[in-house]
Amino acid sequence: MMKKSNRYRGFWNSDAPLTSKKGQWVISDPKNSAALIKAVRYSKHEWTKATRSGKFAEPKVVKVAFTKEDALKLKDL
Amino acid sequence: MNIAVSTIILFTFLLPGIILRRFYYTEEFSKQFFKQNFFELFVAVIVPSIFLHVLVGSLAYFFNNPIDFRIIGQLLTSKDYPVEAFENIQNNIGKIITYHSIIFSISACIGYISKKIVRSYRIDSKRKIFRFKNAWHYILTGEFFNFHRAAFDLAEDDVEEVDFVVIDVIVDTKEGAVLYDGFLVDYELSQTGGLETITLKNVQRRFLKDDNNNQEEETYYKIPGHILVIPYSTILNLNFSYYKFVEIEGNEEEVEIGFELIK
Repeated sequence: MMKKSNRYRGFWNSDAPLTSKKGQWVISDPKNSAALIKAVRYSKHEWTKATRSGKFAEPKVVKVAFTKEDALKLKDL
Repeated sequence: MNIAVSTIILFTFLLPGIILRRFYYTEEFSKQFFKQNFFELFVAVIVPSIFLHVLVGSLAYFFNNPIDFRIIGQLLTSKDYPVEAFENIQNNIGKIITYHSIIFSISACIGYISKKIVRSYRIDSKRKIFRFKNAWHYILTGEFFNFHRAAFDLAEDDVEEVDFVVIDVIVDTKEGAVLYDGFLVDYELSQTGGLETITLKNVQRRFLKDDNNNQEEETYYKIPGHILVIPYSTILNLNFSYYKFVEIEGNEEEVEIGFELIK
């Protein structure tokens, strides 16, 4: 399950990946990235709706449907 | 003066500076190594080269192997075949190779370690003098939040906390503007230092002309595939959202992960 990006391998590894290790790990995994982007879109949609209705709105923390195993792994990264 | 010999000597003299720069401008900043004009490159190379030759030359002197500048002078100025100089080189070829191996290794180490230090402590995003000429990198990673001139400070979080970036891209097509959104995966710079392409994952798209404010759900089309590469020439604008993961419940066994925008 654990997928390490090339950015963290070898002598020429990048100092500044575009996302963190957690981000790399989630985005590399199709199942996790699909769950995360779905939640991101939901939160953005809710935020847009609230803003359009004229209320002052702030984005909220949204839970992501990772499996317990994945969530534990993500926490440890 | 033999021009070929002089050129080789000059190139060998400047090589430590070239190696240092090569190891300093790596990865996402590698284009900067080639971008300068000849004069800028010469100045940027000659200063570290002199420093390194003084350093390693002093070490050689300390170990009773001083550099014989007479030989270099003969090679540079002699109109005929400089017999003495070439004999000296032949007799000391081992020492000359050792000297250059040491100076090239030190150059590579200084370049590589300097870059590591500058990047690790985010000195480049905090101090303009150290900033690399890759503005897109600072935007795509959110490191621009550290810029002194940026009128957007993070009140609670730090740039290091950015876990992933979501981008909305408006692309100009013959049929009208199309909005794409997805995770930022990678990017490519052009020869001039601008953005060439941007690579996204888990992408969906919709035409902006289909927008309806009263609509409860926006109609998107999913784009199956691993990555979507968008050429920068077709992009009208980009909207970046920087997110971090947060732990919602601290229980070791029942941990739940959420995310929020960095602020």
